Amino acid sequence: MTMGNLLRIEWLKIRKYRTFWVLMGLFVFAFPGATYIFYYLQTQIPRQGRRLLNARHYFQFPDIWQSAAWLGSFTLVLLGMLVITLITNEFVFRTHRQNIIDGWNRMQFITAKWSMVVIFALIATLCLILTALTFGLLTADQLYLSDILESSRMIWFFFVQSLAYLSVAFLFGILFKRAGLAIGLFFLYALILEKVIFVLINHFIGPYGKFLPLETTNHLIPSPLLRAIPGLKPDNTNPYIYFVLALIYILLFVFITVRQMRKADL
Amino acid sequence: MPPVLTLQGISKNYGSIRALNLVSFEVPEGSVFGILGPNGSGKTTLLSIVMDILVPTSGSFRLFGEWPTEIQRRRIGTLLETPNFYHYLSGKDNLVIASRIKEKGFGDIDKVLEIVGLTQRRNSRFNTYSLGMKQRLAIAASLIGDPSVLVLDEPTNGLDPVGIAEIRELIRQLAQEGKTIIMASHLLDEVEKVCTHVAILKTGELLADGPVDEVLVNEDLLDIGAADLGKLKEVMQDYPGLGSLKESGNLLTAGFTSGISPGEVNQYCFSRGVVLTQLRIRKRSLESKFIELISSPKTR
Repeated sequence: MTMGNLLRIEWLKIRKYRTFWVLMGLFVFAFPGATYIFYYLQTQIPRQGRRLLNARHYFQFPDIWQSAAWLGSFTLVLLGMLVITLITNEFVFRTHRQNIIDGWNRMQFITAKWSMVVIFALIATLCLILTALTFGLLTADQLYLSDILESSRMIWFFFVQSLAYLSVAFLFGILFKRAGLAIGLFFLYALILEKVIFVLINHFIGPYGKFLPLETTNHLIPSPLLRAIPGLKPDNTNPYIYFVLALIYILLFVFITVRQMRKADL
Repeated sequence: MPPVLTLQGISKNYGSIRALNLVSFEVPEGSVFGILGPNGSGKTTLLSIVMDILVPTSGSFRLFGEWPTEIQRRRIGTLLETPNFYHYLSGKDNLVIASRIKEKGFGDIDKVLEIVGLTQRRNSRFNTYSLGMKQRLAIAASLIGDPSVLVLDEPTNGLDPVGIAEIRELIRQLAQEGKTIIMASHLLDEVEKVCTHVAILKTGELLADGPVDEVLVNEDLLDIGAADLGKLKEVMQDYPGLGSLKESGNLLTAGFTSGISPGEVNQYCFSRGVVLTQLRIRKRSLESKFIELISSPKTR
């Protein structure tokens, strides 16, 4: 069965699923919305203040790439919930068994699901490109192609960040199998548990907490505001270390989920 | 033609519990094969292993004489345990997905919905279906692509008496078309009515397997009585082909190793000076035979 067929079947599963459209719709609006809110706020700063802060440059090329990626990354949580919902649906409805009974092998099932995650990451990246181009073009004083392209590595970084983030969500879905449980534990991990481990590692071992999965993806696209804070020691780690590490995490999660699906009783 | 399904020493452990213990048998092509056993005997576990839903602890199996892959599964229409469908999709949309996975056209969908009587409700969401309708949809799904082999796990589960009769009739029809049907059931009556072959499972052990008329052989008994029961007993003990002889009240109950013929018994007794006052064939029900089979310790 070709990849095209696998994806067509995944599409048949979601095209009439309201939750899919609601979460995807929210994401597509929220992504540029996050950037717009901050753009709007900075226009409300009195003129002198604005000049002093030079807030406008965050929305101009090349900085807009990082701003839009960083602000947009907060909305990835919507896609994370969607990924968990779609994978746990299969377990709750026991359709993961039915798909295999009907004539998929276990690898085809997991490949179809992973392909969907990759497509969601691509959709997120497309949102970044459109958002950044829109704000960048609207706020540009003068347009130089070199400015536009200067930080466009953020596109790659953001794609890998999205994919890594959604992979963590996918892993939680595969491991915990129930939507409520998986989403709850995912938030617990993302918001609290990893921070705790982060602090513990930094305290007892050394400054390696930033290499935890979600910390890695966070460091991939740091907040553009960090540069504006005087006296803050910049993170001197080569960003490509985070990039490669995020890829390694993604491969690790793919490996774990494939192993789980191949060997386990369904 | 290789057998449709060949099981070779399949065992399955759940922790310390042994759900299946070295089960081996063959399902010949064209048979209606019943897997009979009480709840928890391992029927569904066995079929789940064949469908690659569960991984056997040891043993192996073949489908159509080949190592099993998804290619063989696509040639089999399967209803396993409970109907598994996307709750938010209509019956028809669910069948579209099943057709795609089986790599069959959509031409069959309307036909199979008609067969199970769901045409009117085809566009309703699955979660609005009654239990019986869900079961019908699952049967419809198993018929997609006109497979030559059907695996039906408790196919009449959740159906009302009319539905049960309809599905049994459908199974009989399918069998007449030459399809091989593997059916798990805890209802002896169901197996006896539609199956040509049977395998009996009890707590994971295969007790017996083979053609229904061999495994579930009807061993009839003869009740006989005479004025002098002692004399009758004496005479009958020499009867050629006698299997068992038991006193029950004022009658003797005789079992025979080959065939039962009341006329011959009567003549035999009369010629030896015993006049029978009673002579009655007692049908031993399959039910009691089945209960005897599954309650006795391993018979093979």
